[in-house]
Amino acid sequence: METQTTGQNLPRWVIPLVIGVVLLVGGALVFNALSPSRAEQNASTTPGSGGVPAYQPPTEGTPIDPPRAVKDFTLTNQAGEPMSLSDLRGKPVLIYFGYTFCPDICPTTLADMARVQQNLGDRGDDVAYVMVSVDGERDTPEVLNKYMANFGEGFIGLTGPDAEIRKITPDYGVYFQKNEVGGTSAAYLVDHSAAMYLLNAEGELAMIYGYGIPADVVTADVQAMLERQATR
Amino acid sequence: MYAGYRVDLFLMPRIYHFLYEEECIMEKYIQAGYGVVTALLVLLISACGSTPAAAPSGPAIEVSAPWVRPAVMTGMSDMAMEDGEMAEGETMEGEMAEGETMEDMSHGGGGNSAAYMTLVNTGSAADAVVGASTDVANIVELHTTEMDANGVMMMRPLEQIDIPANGEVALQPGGIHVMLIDLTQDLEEGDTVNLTLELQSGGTLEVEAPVTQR
Ligand SMILES: [Cu+2]
Repeated sequence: METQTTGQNLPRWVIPLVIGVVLLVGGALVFNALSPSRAEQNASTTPGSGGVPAYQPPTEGTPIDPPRAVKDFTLTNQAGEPMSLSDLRGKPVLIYFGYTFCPDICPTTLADMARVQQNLGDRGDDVAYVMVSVDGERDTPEVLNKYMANFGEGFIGLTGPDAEIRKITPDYGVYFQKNEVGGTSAAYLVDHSAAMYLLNAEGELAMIYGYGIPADVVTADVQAMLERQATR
Repeated sequence: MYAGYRVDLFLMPRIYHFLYEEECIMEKYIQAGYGVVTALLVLLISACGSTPAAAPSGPAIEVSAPWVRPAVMTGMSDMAMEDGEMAEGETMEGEMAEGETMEDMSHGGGGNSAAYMTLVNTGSAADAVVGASTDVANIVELHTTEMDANGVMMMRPLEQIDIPANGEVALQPGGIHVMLIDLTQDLEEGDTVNLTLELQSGGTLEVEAPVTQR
């Protein structure tokens, strides 16, 4: 009986207290869990967190070794004159496939090309900077003329019929597709590969740069190419 | 702790009373336990309700670091209404060489740009940008650019730009943007673009975005 009374007396008032404390602590924990911390808030609203993994821009280009010959082509430049890739032989060529209705990726890439031109200083003019339009329907020479001048001096815009462009793009692995999309005033949008390509002075494909490549990385590659050219 | 002080006052007389009772029934303790628990919960809930750091109720949107990409009027017209003018299979070569399609197609100055910013919601309710307008473009749309694993970029219109409660959404190149279509003026570095954003919650936000090359 003794063990029973001591066993009864002490725990009797302890039990409600323990229950109370447990619930108090538990309640506090639940409250904390329901109000997300600063770190969690930031994590949940990071761009690209819509279920789609965010695109990771590359830190370096992909060399094509040995450089691969690409087909020559003739399109219309922004002056409305025919221009061939072979006209640019003797200079490294930075080439991009885009369209002027693209407000985002294309101007970013062309602005990066302009940065390469600036980085090269005196040698900036020893390189050709080209955008081939994948939207010949809207990108007339006049449109390209105004558009390209927005980026860099001597920047070349080339345009032509779809069928002609489709003969060129496989050499670069470029994909493009017009899409009529609802919810926009635009007649159509063009999905397209967003990479930039470096051709050497012989007109061979030497480097591929994914979208977002730092201009400094491209500059270093072009500089190295110009130096190799000089010692040849 | 504030709550602890109140608990002791509540608890002590009962403990005293129970200790001197000979044949105490377990139910009594349980009842007392429930009483304590109820009191604690009431305290806890009232404490939560009056938390001084509580966020304002409803959405509260702020715009940070807005900017607009420099762009020129290209003379290009890209409205859907021109679609019918182009017969299927019509050769583009002739048009291209002569560039004669523009005169009858052009509505504004053509060309386009995009506005970027971070939308911060300090409120406790979600909101969304459902529309936008500006003097510098005839058409303003909400778009997103997505890049697939093969490096193919796709631009798509968005019905709205969601801004989660106590969260933020970044509008940036290669992602969500406010697209300015058919510019009414060239946008040069140093210019300022005034943009009005319509919010789902009913209000509007006036944004002054500098034109800068990033
Ligand atoms: Cu867009």
